[in-house]
Amino acid sequence: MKAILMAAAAIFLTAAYSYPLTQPDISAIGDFRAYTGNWKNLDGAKTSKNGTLNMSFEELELAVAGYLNPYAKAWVTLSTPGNGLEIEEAYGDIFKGLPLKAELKAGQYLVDFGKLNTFHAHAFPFIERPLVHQALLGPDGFRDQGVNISFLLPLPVYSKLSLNILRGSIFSQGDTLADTLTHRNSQLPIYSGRWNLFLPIGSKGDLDVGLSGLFGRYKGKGAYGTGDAPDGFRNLNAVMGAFDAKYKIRWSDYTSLIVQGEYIINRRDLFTQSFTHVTNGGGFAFFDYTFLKRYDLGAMFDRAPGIFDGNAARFGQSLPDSLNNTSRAVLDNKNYSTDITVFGGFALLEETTLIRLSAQYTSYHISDQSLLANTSLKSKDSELTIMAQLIWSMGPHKPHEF
Amino acid sequence: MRKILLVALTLWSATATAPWAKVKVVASSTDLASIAREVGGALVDVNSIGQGKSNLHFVEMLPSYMLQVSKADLYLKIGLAMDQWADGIIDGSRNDKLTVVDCSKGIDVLEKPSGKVDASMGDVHPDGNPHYWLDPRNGKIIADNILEGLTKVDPGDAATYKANRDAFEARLDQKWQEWSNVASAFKGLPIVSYHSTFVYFAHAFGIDVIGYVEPKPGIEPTASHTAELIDLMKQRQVHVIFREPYYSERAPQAIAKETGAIVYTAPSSVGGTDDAKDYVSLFDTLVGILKQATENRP
Repeated sequence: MKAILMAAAAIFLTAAYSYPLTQPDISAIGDFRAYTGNWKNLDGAKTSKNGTLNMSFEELELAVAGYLNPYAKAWVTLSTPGNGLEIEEAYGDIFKGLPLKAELKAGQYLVDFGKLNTFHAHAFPFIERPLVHQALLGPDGFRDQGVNISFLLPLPVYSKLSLNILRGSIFSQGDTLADTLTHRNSQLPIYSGRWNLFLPIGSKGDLDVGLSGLFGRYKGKGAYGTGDAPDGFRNLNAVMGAFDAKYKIRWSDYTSLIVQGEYIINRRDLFTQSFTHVTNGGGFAFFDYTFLKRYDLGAMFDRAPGIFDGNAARFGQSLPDSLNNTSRAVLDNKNYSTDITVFGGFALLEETTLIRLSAQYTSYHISDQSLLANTSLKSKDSELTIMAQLIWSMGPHKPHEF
Repeated sequence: MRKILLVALTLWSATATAPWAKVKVVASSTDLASIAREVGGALVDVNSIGQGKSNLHFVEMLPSYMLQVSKADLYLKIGLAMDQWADGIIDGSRNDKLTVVDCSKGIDVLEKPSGKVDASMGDVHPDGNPHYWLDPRNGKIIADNILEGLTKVDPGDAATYKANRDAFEARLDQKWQEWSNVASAFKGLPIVSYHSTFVYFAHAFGIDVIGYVEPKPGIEPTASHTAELIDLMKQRQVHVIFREPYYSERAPQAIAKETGAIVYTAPSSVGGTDDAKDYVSLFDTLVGILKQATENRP
């Protein structure tokens, strides 16, 4: 922690005293939220925060980016989720001069699994990361340490093939919610890739479609950390796939519409008495209509495996641990959660000050009768969360990315 | 396997530039593209990323632009922090053989901030007003910069490019006389524009931009600023409002209603209106609008 703070201070002092023409771009982005809702535990009892107004300074993000030389750039993004300080991304990127027009980056970065995952959350048109991402990719998205190489394919339209070799943090780090399989230590790298195709549709529209895949093997000692195999650790496979699509049509500089969605399928090996596997999946789809340049309105549907809500602690909920954690969600093919979110935003000035409002209706569906037996849990329940967000961005304006 | 490799190699080589192919030029704006067509003539194939009816401050970094630039020999930037998005497109193209020319080189920049620039001033460009192509005399400097770039990527045809540049500049000189004669009728004419787009145009033709619909660069119109602007326009008897084609008509029309002014859709780039087909006709159009405005003046 102290080391990260020292590193952050060093970056800013170096930037402040370096020759102006070689200074990197430095930006700070703040995310403040106020929210209320009718939160209940799964037995129907209201939580202590039910109906109250809550406020939180959700995150401060410090981003430093710049050229290292004519062929390479580097990015460092530090963020403060909760009370900590962590490296969100830090990587070097050789974007020019490599054979076959390849681009190579290495470090810690948001992995291009699906399209949405590579965007920082403040760039989403809605407030909360989709449930399916939280459940299957981790609460802050899928980021890992590794190497990425990508190629522009020699086709008449833009098409990119991107390949990653990753450390496998998504399967380890037992102290975070991203620990998708508790007590299992990642000792082998994981491999992922995405192929995308970008197609202009008419003079006003563009379509980006992508296919992603991931394969990982990790050492496991049985399902849920129990039922250890008598002969020790086993290699267990995890395979994930995703399909993503984004369509944007611009009628003018003032009016546009985005329709975007992703579906993720997940298959995990289990070892209890014998080898078996579980397959589940989920997805989201949303539209976002921008009008008068500074206003937007949209809606999203989101479905995730498991009874999972990344906000349970924040909302004062104490959902049974057997239900509410990502470790359970990735292995749950019986129960599911859904979100219907209506959102809107107003940008005081593009990319500098943004106010967002959202109403999120979350439903839990429990069909696993063994979980319902001898408890007061209901097979279906729901909650409504109303949230307001203020995002400010100080620093160089960033050009828009499709 | 061998067949697949052969097909891949064929596809890959098809994207490479053949020695007899035209020089591929991509420009950030239609204005630079138009001048590049004049200087390059039949030897170049020119595309523009920014479009005449779109705001050059805000261009989305589309992968299709990166694909265009990946096959280009020369990229023409506006510079002066106008097309910062171009860097992302150029980097995304991964084209290490690309020559990039900043067409603002040698321009006598107007509205260069002297003190500290910060976001409280709105979307101020720290290097000065970047709409320099709207002074037709700067068209000659742009042509010189483009000539330098084309000569670098295609030295074998340097003489042709130089002859084309000379012909273009001679034409601009001739048109400058013509436009200046017409402009003498509206010298000192007070106008209002939406954004600080026409500063170079006003400087060239002696018109007086007394205010903007935007309270500060890049900031949407506010009620208090609009009220102040209406008072100023009444006081200075302003009858002309220039609206760039990509800005909303709402605020300019509301101001026109209060002041009796007329809103003219003034192209700020080639293609901004149907009659602004190239760099020369862009000024024909703008000068024509002001001539008409002078005739319409009560």
